[in-house]
Amino acid sequence: MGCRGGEKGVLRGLGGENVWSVLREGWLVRVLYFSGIPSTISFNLDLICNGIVVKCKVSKTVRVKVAILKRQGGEMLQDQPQGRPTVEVTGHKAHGAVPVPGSIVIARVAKVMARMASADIMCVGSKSVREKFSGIIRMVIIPSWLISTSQATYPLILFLVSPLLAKCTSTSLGVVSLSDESFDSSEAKIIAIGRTIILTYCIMRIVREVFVGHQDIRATEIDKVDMHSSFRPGDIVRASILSLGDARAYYLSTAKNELGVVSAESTAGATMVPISWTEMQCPLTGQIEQRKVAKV
Amino acid sequence: MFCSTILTPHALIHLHLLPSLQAPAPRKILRTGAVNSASGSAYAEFGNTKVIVSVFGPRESKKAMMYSDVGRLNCNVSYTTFATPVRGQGSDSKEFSSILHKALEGAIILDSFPKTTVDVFALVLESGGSDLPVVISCASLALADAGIMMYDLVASVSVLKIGLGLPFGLGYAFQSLEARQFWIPEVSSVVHGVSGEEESYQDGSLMITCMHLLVMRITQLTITGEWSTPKIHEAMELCLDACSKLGKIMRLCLKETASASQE
Repeated sequence: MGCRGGEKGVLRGLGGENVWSVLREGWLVRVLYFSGIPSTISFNLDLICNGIVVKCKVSKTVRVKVAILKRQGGEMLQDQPQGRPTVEVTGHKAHGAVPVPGSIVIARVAKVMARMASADIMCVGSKSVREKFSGIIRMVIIPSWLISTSQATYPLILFLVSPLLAKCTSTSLGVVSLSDESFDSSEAKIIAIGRTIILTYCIMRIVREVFVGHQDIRATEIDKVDMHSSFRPGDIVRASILSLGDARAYYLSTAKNELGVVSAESTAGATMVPISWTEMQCPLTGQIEQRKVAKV
Repeated sequence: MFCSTILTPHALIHLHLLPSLQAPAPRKILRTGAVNSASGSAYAEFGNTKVIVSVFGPRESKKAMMYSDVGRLNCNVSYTTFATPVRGQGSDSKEFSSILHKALEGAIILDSFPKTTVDVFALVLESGGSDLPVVISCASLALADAGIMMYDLVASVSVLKIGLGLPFGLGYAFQSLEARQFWIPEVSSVVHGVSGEEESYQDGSLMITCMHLLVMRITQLTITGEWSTPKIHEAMELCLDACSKLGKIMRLCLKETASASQE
């Protein structure tokens, strides 16, 4: 048991065993799953599909269960005695990749519209595709107070509006206490208010979850996101596939720090240099343009 | 036994007109990677029949198509204008496309490429008889070359019934790679490769497409003409045996390509 880091920082070990190690920034870790073995991974790397190399950003001890099927040299390793030997088959062709939900893709932005950007997927994982697939990066705008309001203030807001809500909801939903007549009016009112506070709080949380789930561009400061200040046509972006989408396009997302614009050209025609997470600068003219930059 | 069945005058006439009985066994070629621009391709030559198949995909379906959870297979078989002795459209080429589709769709794992389409284009360069089995076998080689996930390679063999139902002709015969000739002793006459002329004398044909590796699974069976039940049994045994041998030859061809690319 145990392992040591290799020269390139690749964890080496026999397949199937638990590997404990300190992962440092810049190390490349290959994490693979055996089929049928439950994964007991508890770490905060952004993962994962079989065989995809992830970059680790944390510098603290992280527990990783690593199953290495193949060393860098190419020999096949066998599982531990009680497990079954597993053979991994990799195609000899570099093409033929199909976009799969959860995989990281490289796409070129074709069109930028008010609420969405369409992109042509050029690479899936590390394989290029022979013919491009269409993808869409969508955005849904919701009021800022719904997101930026912290959880502590939800009950306060609800309490302030609850008398109105109490009247509407309790009568419309028919949420009436079991024995209304036994309480006097003030107690009944308090009970009704309390019930509606809980009810509307739940509804607000559900709404928040539903809308936050659709924020495909940026995870924070969602209300300030503008498509034109995130992408421009011709940018190369790294995105992840949310789902197969509809018949026309895959749904893409750049809502993580390491996703976003990887390379962009300025209006002057030079490749821009990123200067912050939201800005890139042209080396020729010094002009600063806004993009959602990927944390590479 | 060979002579006794051929002594009928009808068959004697056929004997003179059947060139392949006298000629040496025709050559067989199976190659992959013939077309660079395609995802996968294969070229097959069996006697006079020359077929090239190219596979494109999985690539994006047309926008007009409905969304589908599984992949789609699109097949097209076409003849060149110089494929047949008489210039013009080859026989039944529209039917062949749907037959090829039915033969292949049982073998391809469509779930592995949802929402996308795999296009198979088969071009018959020269039609020397038994085109369809060659097209089907070549198409499955091309799909394997393209890396499309399949349950098994699909091999296809057809058998013709010539004359009064006595001798059998093997739709396309094959040789092991050591170039030994392969005789089927229980069949009275073996026709190595069927030419177009022989096809014109046929009384009936039986074509089998099957995957043989794990469990013998027939993906398609086509019978034309008059057959009695014992003859069908005999022909099927012949074909299945030939299919399994053809499957082995196809695998050898793929392994050669893979080991050649590794070096």
